[in-house]
Amino acid sequence: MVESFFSLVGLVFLVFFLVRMTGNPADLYLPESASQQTRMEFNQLHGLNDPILVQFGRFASQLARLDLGDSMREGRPAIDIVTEAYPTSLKLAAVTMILAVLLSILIGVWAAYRPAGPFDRVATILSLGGASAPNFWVALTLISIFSVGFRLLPTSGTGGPIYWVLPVVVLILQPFGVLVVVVRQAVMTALDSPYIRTARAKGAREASILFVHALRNASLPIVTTAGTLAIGFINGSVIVESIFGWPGVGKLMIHSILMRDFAVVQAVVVVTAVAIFSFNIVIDLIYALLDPRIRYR
Amino acid sequence: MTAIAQIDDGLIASDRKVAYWHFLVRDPLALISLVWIIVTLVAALIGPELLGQEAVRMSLKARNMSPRFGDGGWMDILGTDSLGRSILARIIVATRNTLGIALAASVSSMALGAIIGIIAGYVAGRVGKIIMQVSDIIQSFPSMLLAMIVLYILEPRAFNLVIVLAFTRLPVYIRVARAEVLELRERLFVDAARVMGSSSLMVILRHIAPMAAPTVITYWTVDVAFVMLSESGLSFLGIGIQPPDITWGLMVANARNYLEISWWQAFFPGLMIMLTTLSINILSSWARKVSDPLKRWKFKAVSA
Repeated sequence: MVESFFSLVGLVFLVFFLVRMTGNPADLYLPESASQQTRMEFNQLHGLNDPILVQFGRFASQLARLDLGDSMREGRPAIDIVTEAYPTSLKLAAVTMILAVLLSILIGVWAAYRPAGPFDRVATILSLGGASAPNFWVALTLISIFSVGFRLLPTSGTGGPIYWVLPVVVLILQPFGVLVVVVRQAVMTALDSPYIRTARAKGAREASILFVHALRNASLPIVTTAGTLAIGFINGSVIVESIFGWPGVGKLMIHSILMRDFAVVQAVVVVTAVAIFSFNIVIDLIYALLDPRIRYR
Repeated sequence: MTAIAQIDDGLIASDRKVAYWHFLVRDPLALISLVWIIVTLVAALIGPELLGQEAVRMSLKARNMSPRFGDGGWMDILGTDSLGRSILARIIVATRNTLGIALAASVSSMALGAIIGIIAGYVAGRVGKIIMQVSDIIQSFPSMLLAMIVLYILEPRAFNLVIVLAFTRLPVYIRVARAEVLELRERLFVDAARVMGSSSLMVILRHIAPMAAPTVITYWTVDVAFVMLSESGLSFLGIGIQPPDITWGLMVANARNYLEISWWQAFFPGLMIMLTTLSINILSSWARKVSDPLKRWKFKAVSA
């Protein structure tokens, strides 16, 4: 707890100084013909004339009051802009992760049932392929087939369920690929245990042996990996969001960096760090839910 | 006594080489992957010298040509881009940058990360804690922001991209190496070496590093593929390699605007990325399977 708090503080400090090394916002926000006078006034207004340590002091004292400053581009609190973008990214991440976990459990368990069998081989190649495919390429290829070629799906934008198909398919590949391998390995290890033989001996059905007995014991590594993958999604997926035009937090981040909107960049980093921190607590709770040994310790 | 031991060692070593070769021949997928990686390495070595001219030769008449075997012969087999340049030639020329950046970044981050990780594991206590704290901060730092900053301050060149990619992968190696050393440190042979009077440096170099190496290297093989994907992602977003330099990722990015009229411009460079990372992943999982004695035995039984 204390250590992750220190990491968070270090991260915020680092971002504050590094983001200011990308250049002066005045060059981007004022026309090239702007006079020295206008520039001075702009810098004065946004507090950019003060020494960097004074600026940092102001930032830190605002942060202590949970104020993340105003966006330079939109002139309203940075935190509002970030909290508007977050739900889009989180919804996309949630749908993707839930589908990825369900699919990989189905396929991984089946593959583990007959290791080195034909289904296992196909599943292994599919999962490796999923994890190896560059997602922007998959996105562009699917767009040129289904949107440009057959005109079945929209190329980009947000709206009804039809707008979700391509982004989710593109995003699911990598977590699916990684999870199938983990599920298969964990279930194979569980199936080797003596308690499975006991279950068979007492006459349990194969389906219940696989999905109830073996899967429950195999669930911890699956939760760990799924958790790590989900944390990667909390940052938003810059590439998929920018290709499909989703106004999520990944797109916001890259846009704010390019526009030197320092307050928004800092707000994204702080909110993301807090989200990851709370997500880790949720994962610990899931562990306790799944494994009585952790609950009673 | 020592002579016999040596002969035995020699026999086992040559036997093992033969065995690996047999495993490879019996696993067609791994064999194909190996061949593919060798082909791309050759393309990276001689490609730019061989086809450097062809890759930049523009032709107004031959713009956006679909894949064909026409007047240009083999050069048009994958089509041409919006300036009439051969896609095939450009793919081959881009191999050097793509593979070079991935290899340079992953090897340097493995070397540096392993050294730091071994120190963090061996010298536990305060130093180890501080190292892990810093590595946590690096890990949670948005890599996109880091790339932007480095490319703003320095020039957007291949070398600087290597630094960015290597830096962002550092924490993973620190973690893996440290975990390995924490476990090895408690083993009897390390205690024995220490009791015999070895210095800390000797214990690390002679006894700990060789034992930790296989795990770290296994991790590296997976990481090369990952770094390649990261590089192509950064180049795709326009904050990686800058024209006129080319990588496969940048080729896909440039083709994005011509998606409606010429799918081949984006398709083939992306396919190259996919095939190469897939080959690396297949070979690395094959190597893990074969180098694990327990699984090797199963593997023998299945494939025999």
